[in-house]
Amino acid sequence: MNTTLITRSNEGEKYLLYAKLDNAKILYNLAKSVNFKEHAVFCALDSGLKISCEDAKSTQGIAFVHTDLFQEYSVKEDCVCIKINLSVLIECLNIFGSIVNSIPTALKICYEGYGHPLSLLLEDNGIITECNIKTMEADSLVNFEFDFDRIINKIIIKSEGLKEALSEIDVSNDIIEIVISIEKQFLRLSSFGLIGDTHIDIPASSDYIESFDCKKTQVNRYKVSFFRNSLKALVSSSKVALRITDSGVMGIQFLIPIPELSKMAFVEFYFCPDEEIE
Amino acid sequence: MKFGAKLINTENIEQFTEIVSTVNKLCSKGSGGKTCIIKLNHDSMCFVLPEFASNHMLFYSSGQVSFWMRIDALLLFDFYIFEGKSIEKSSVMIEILPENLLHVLKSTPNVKNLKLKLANKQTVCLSIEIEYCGISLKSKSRTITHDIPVKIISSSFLAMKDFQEPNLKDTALSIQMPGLKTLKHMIERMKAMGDHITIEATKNGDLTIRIQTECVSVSSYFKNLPVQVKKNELCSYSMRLSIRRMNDFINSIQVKPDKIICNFINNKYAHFLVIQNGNLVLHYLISSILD
Repeated sequence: MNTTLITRSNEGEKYLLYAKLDNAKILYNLAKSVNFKEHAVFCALDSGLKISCEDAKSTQGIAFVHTDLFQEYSVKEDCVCIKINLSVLIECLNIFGSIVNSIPTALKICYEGYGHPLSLLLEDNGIITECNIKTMEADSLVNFEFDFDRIINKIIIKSEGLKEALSEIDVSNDIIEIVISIEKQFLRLSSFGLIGDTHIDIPASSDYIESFDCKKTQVNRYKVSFFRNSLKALVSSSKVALRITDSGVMGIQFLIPIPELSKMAFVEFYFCPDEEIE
Repeated sequence: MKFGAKLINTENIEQFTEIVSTVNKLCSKGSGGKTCIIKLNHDSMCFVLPEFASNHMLFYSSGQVSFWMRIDALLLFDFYIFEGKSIEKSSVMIEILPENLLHVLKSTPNVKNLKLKLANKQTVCLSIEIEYCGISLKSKSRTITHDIPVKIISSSFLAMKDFQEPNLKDTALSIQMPGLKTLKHMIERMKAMGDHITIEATKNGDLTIRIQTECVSVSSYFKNLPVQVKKNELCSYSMRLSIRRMNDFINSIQVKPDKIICNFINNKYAHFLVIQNGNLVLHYLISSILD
């Protein structure tokens, strides 16, 4: 473990946010999974860091890094939110590149408060890199009001299954139709391309499906690009929970294993249906 | 004039290919065409960009680059002979497109040996005779000759002295750069964030590589690097370069260097030296961005 710079533990005192991570890659991978837009809102909560990215008020991606994943984490206020250039943050976290089997890059995050930059200190093999990222006021994010009480259908599927299904989708059309049927007991993904229609059926009995909780048959259409935004998260996840409310709002939760710490992280995506079909 | 070179050892063939690959990348980023001039001497081969002929870095505009490379021919080749026409004309300069040479060297992996010579076939050519291993144990090896047209640059057109090794006599401070892998990653990431990079070195062997934009400032601190102070005027020297040029330089290096040295010369340009085992020296100059 690299400890030359990052040892003083009383140092956190003067910062509004102070966090230490033994492996910068953990934050790097989670931040990358929601980087479908350049800017993001970076929130430090009591429970951990939340990185939220939004596109045209119609879709939202949130990566959550629980305090469990940090070696040290302290935040002085209930919720410290800032807007930053997420693409730049990601480049900074990867400044040393990644060499397999080597000691991971250590990371320290410091934020003094309003008007100060978000400071990252990365250490790798005795070399220290200091990054100061300009912060802006956090825009208010669309509150999707994903009403957990109004979830009609919930499916937990193994990531390989969803990966396979999505790879078969014809992308010549920008719409994907999701059917969850109580009568037929399946999850159907459909696309309507120029050459023809593609339907991929995953029955509830499939090995890929871990749980199939269907209250009512639903047919909803969503933009393919919304699913595409979540591909990075899908690739690094082990399981996915698809939850759809009665108004067709989709909430996807990816379970991302962090093997180095034998812990888990969550990345979520929310988006509205394109049209509703009864 | 007599010229002949032969490569039998697989390692040497690979090394020569890496060298030509480096030259090809260096030339393709140059401001002139993609040609390069090879100067053949009795013990070495020098690769130079044609515009080096002015013998000075073009300081009038910032962001200019130039390179000069010498390889120890007697060490690299398994057999090498070069004799000039006379004592006065003890070397010859030929202009060539390095990508043609690279194309030949990379043609197949089953090279048994290769021979280089100059031949006159309708026009002057660098003739490369490659003997390939047979496909099976029983089949005979095949020989293919590739002729690459070249132009002999007469010494009356360009003086020999124009192709001398760039001198480092005005160097104020020399510092050894960090490893190529680390440098490569860092420069690439910084390139995604900004246009200009500042390199600063101190007498104590501290090196700082920094970018600063409206959005972010990133500084990397390297300590205890081997350093040589030639002029004891200032404690530290710094230079501002185009990241794109720096990135082009780092990515051109296809050989495995033993060290890369950065020489600070009057803050006008960065003079990099890439050294491999004493048998390869590459000078790469990038003029600095003047504010």
